[in-house]
Amino acid sequence: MKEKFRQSMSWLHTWSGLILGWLIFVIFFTGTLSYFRHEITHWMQPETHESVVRDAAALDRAVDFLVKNAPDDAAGWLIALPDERMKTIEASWRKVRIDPKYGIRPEITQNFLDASTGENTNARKTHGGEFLYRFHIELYGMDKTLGRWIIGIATMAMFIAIITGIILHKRIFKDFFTFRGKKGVRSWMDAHIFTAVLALPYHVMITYSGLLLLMMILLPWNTEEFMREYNEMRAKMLEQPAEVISPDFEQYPPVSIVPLIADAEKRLGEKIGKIYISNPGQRNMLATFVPVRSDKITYTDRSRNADANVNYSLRNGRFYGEMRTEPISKAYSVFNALSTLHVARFADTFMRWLFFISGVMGTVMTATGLIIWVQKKAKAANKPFGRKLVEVLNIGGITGLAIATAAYFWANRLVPAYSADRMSWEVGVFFTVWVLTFIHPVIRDRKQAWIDQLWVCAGMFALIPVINAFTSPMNLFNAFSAGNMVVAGFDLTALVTGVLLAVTAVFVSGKKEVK
Amino acid sequence: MFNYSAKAVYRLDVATRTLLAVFGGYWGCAAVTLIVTRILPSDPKTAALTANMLFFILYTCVFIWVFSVRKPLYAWLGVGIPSAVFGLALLMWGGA
Repeated sequence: MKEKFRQSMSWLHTWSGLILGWLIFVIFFTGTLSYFRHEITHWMQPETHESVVRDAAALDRAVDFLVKNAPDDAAGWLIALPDERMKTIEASWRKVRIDPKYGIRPEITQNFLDASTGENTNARKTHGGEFLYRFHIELYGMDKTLGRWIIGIATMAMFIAIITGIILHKRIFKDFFTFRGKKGVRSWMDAHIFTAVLALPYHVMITYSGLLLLMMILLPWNTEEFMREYNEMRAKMLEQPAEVISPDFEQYPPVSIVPLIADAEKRLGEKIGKIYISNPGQRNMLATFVPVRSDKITYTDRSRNADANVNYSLRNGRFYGEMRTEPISKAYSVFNALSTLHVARFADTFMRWLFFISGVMGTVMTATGLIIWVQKKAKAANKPFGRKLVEVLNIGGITGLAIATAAYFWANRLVPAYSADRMSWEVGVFFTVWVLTFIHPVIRDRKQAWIDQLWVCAGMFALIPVINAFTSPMNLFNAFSAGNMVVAGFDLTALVTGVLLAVTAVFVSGKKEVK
Repeated sequence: MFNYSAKAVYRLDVATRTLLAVFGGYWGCAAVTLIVTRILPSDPKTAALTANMLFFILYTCVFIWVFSVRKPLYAWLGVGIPSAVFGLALLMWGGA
């Protein structure tokens, strides 16, 4: 009877994993890259690469920049201070637009200023890492709600696959220390189990928290309570006609923010990361100083990125008080902890890398799972068409996505920096290349198609430092010496990825195909 | 002939169990979640959050139940009875 139970778990594991397996792979892949979405965006704006040294005086020039450039109807400004992840000063403004479907939508214009001079770098327009991040929560080019439903269903299937995988795998620790190379399907199985078990707590956490983050979409019948405050606020805002009071900076010139930052850091005992400025150019011009991140994971206020902030009048620099988030219930602590873990908001560079590596484990686990299906199940079922279909989807879905991502980075440098529709060109290249990677295995022998695509992918990633050296003032070597670890890290990671893919290509070439 | 019909029965079994788990499970877990939201003594927002967090775990258990019991009847009863009880309780409580 017990064996029967494990068999049915094996069945459930296989099918819940397979049916949405490619989608799960895409979510793992793009989601893992999202841990470095700010770093990716920085790399994709080579105009900003020379901004390395932080000079406090440049922050006041960011305020001057906003005074000169922000439109009169901007509802608020944001100044984001450079840190180890973002090398520039972000000076942005936000307009409020009333959208008939989604209600109040912010419309944000971002500018990236040099951290030492405060000059606008006029960085090229790009979706940057945001594209990959958005893709892993709502796909692309469709209604956001529909996209999130699809992602949510795939995540649910993933969760079932993980739980049943744990149940059916009884020798979890023994197999952990087993790797049999060059043994056909057994090697893939060992790789699947190794990556699954090594990062198992991570896999459970990331999938379950992913479901929780989507619960407003997936469980709409029980969200009234969460939406009540927001709906009331929205109704109030829609009631009041948005009256634009023209800012008057002659009468109310903003004071220097540099001493205010020092004071705010002293009061909070944490480094300041963001400054929100509301009512710019008005009598009641207010600046809210928010820490970079909080190391505490349970009390994080999701919207403000921290559990405390301090306010100053920007007209005379007077301290307006400290806001602390209220103590929260146990359930909320759990929810906040899980969602903070999901997005690694608390993580410093080292933790971020650990999360990234765990994400890579998940990506490899999903990919090997899909490959095992072809090698084992489809062979046993003796359905040539089904096997061919799954294998084509595997090749385009796995190596194809990696190639498309590399192509996205290449397009970033090859599409002219100031052409008007370069953002849609970058995304267009991503999808065009991805489609091509599905056509290629249809016309090519499929084992050969794997090897072809692995080599193409290896080459494209390994050459990223080269294309960067030609199209940015920074290259792998002077980025190190100048201290721009973001650009150096990106180039080095791309290079290592290329080498690992080449090793995989060699491994796959040497393997006998299971016929 | 016999083989063919055995295969057809198997497919029908898988198809109905899948529909049962996906939709029946969703409906049943929704009823449980709404009841739990009302029963919990904490403030409404916390109660709804706790219940929602339970939903995904419960829904996973439904899948394991539906696909592991031997007879389809057990699968239907296992999902049907709790769904009916909690659904009825919800109705008597004054609708969803």
